[in-house]
Amino acid sequence: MPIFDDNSPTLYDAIVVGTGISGGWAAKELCEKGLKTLVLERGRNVKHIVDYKTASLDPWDFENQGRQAEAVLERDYPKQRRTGYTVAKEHVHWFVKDSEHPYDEVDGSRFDWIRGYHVGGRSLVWGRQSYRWSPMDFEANAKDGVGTPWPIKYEDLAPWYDHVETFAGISGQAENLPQLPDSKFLPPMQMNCVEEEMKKGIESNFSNRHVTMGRVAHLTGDVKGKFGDRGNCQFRNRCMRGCPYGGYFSSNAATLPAAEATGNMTLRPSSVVFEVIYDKDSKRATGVRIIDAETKKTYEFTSKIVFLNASAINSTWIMMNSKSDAYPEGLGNESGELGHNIMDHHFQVGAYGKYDGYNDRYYKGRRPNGIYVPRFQNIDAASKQDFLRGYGYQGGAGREAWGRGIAEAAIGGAFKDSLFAPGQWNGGIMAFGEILPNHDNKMTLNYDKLDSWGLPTVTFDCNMGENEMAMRADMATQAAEMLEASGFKDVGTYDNSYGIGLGIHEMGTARMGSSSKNSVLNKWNQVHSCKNVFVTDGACMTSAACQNPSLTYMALTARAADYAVSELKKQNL
Amino acid sequence: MKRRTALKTISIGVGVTVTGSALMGVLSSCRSETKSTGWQPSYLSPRDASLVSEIADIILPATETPGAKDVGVIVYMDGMIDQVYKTEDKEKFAAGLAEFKNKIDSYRADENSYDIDREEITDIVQEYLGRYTQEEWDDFNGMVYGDPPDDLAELEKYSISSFLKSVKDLSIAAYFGSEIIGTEHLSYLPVPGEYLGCIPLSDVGNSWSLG
Repeated sequence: MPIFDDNSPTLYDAIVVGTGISGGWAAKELCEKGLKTLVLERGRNVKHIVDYKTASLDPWDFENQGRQAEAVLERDYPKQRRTGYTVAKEHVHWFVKDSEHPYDEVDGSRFDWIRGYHVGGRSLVWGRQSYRWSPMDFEANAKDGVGTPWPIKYEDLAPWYDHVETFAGISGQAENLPQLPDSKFLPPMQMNCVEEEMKKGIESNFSNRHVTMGRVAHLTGDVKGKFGDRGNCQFRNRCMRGCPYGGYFSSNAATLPAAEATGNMTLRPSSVVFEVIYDKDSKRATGVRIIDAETKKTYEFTSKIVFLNASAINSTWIMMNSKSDAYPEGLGNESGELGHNIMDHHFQVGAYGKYDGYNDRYYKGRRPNGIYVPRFQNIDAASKQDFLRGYGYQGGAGREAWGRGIAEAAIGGAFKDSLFAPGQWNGGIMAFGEILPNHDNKMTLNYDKLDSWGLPTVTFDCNMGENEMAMRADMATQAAEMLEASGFKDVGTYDNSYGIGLGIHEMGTARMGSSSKNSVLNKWNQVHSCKNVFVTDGACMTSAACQNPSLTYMALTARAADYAVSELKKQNL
Repeated sequence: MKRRTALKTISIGVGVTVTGSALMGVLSSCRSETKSTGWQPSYLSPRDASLVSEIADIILPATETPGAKDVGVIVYMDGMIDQVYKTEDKEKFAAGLAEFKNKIDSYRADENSYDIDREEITDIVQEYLGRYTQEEWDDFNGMVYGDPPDDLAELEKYSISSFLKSVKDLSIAAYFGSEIIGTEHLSYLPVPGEYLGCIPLSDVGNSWSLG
């Protein structure tokens, strides 16, 4: 990677802030279109493959089989630990320490802000589930009178979905469903015996309900040479450690190498952008100010356009902290919506059960994926509910392993020997539902509590609403009914502790809309009144739908980059 | 309770005879005079480590496959209690261990001795952990994960039961998560290369070791 040094220029065509899913795409698209691009990342550099130190370690290679020490969790990860999984030793180095990057929550509220500060950001650790939004998702706000209408339609984004899917590689099964348009697919992964039974049971007992293989950004089928140096998914399910095969899409494996190959990218890690510089005469941004995370020296970089891809909360934080005479409440905040309408996908609710049979069948491989039940509520008149919007399920089935011994009432040699064989099949599905945009769910900057770099920290005030709670009840009920209809026994439901942000799909804090009266960004992801600043990460989202959002961030970013370059060529920026 | 002859073969520290693993040196490690040979427990005293290791081996004894002591489960167990357990769980474990020791005549008799009467301990472990229908076991679990009772006699039962349940849970995780069991006894395939969703179990044999 060409890393910024003392001889590097301070003047660029474009600056991209952030190297995660959307920043990587901005870097690739802008560099490939010929723009000299400075890519700023607040964290350390991460070299693809070389820096995936834990990628091939087995559980016994870690102290305490990889379980994190309680003292470390209490000291460094009081909030990051809320997920339960991010703090495991195999990948904890991809997540920030709360002790170094503190934030606060208004009393009685909760927001789980799970972050990774390094080159590649959370593209290294994402769930890789990749689903297109549908026409109804872009129409929902206008139809329901909730939030503000989206300024784009599905058709505006469809060619850009094609564009990013072809490069990223999305494995999945075409289903031709209006509520979940198909992608450009690589071959789907296989379902196992009991998942096939779930598919049969659900599809034959419920009209308009479907079970499809999870759609994931993994390379499957004959991919030789079509994705550069990347190789096929090896079914190790150690994705979050970084993949030495490049089997799943990440900035490190895919977009940043493509940007680098153009010769147009300069990467500067350890660069905490804290302000977009605004020039009131030209009504344009002229660049950004950064503080070096290591030396704590400040620098200014100049460019024709700026792409903010620092993640929903951090891109918004930069804009809120970019105060000027023209923007006393933060860059582009005439509407008063900047920092508001925080959304996520609410989950941790569903059902599970046991499946009798197939005792002589098993599977090979650790599939980093499950099955998917596309949304079926509120998609037509017949599926109308007393809550708005909908949810999908992710799930799967498998055979119990030795861990079942903990729940069995036995000890001794025969007991021990029985645990070497796989146990019975069980399975479950967990819902992921839409959260409505709500102006009251917001973040503010706390200038009384500064971080180690002297910068304001964030305070969140986010709460679940009535619509979400009504939806959760239905999520559990429908899950149990579908498992029972598929032949599962001892079916139970759960509704575990969930706080907004736990889905790590935070979005909505600088939303797109029709004007600067109701939103921060226009239909091209430009700040309405400062047109050379583009925001194409989760901050831009006007509503949340119920699909995992990263694929949509990729498509929006590629679309905005294409527009930005065409406007530059027309000298409109 | 009648005295039984101590089994000399299990009196040597935690009795690990594993080779070729990071656990080498555990064999005689619990004796103060052999400190230089390797692993030392962090949380448990050497003598208590020896006792807990023995209990683990009663729960998971050697058969055609190794026993808990053979794979050195005490290393993981001690580390988990020391580092991963929350303070209240540590205290609960310590209280239960103390109550358990009180019940062992052979252990009480000589506080410097590592000789452990395995038969005597087996009886106690069986009494608390090994004689349940599944329904009674559910009640047992409800008890050990609940709050401590006020009644003193009940408290002893609660304490020892909680302790032995912790030892069982830790033993299973330590044993099946160990390198020896994971690579030599369960089906070990670090790079599957493919996913096949419905194949004969006989093609694989034992459970996959990696989850």
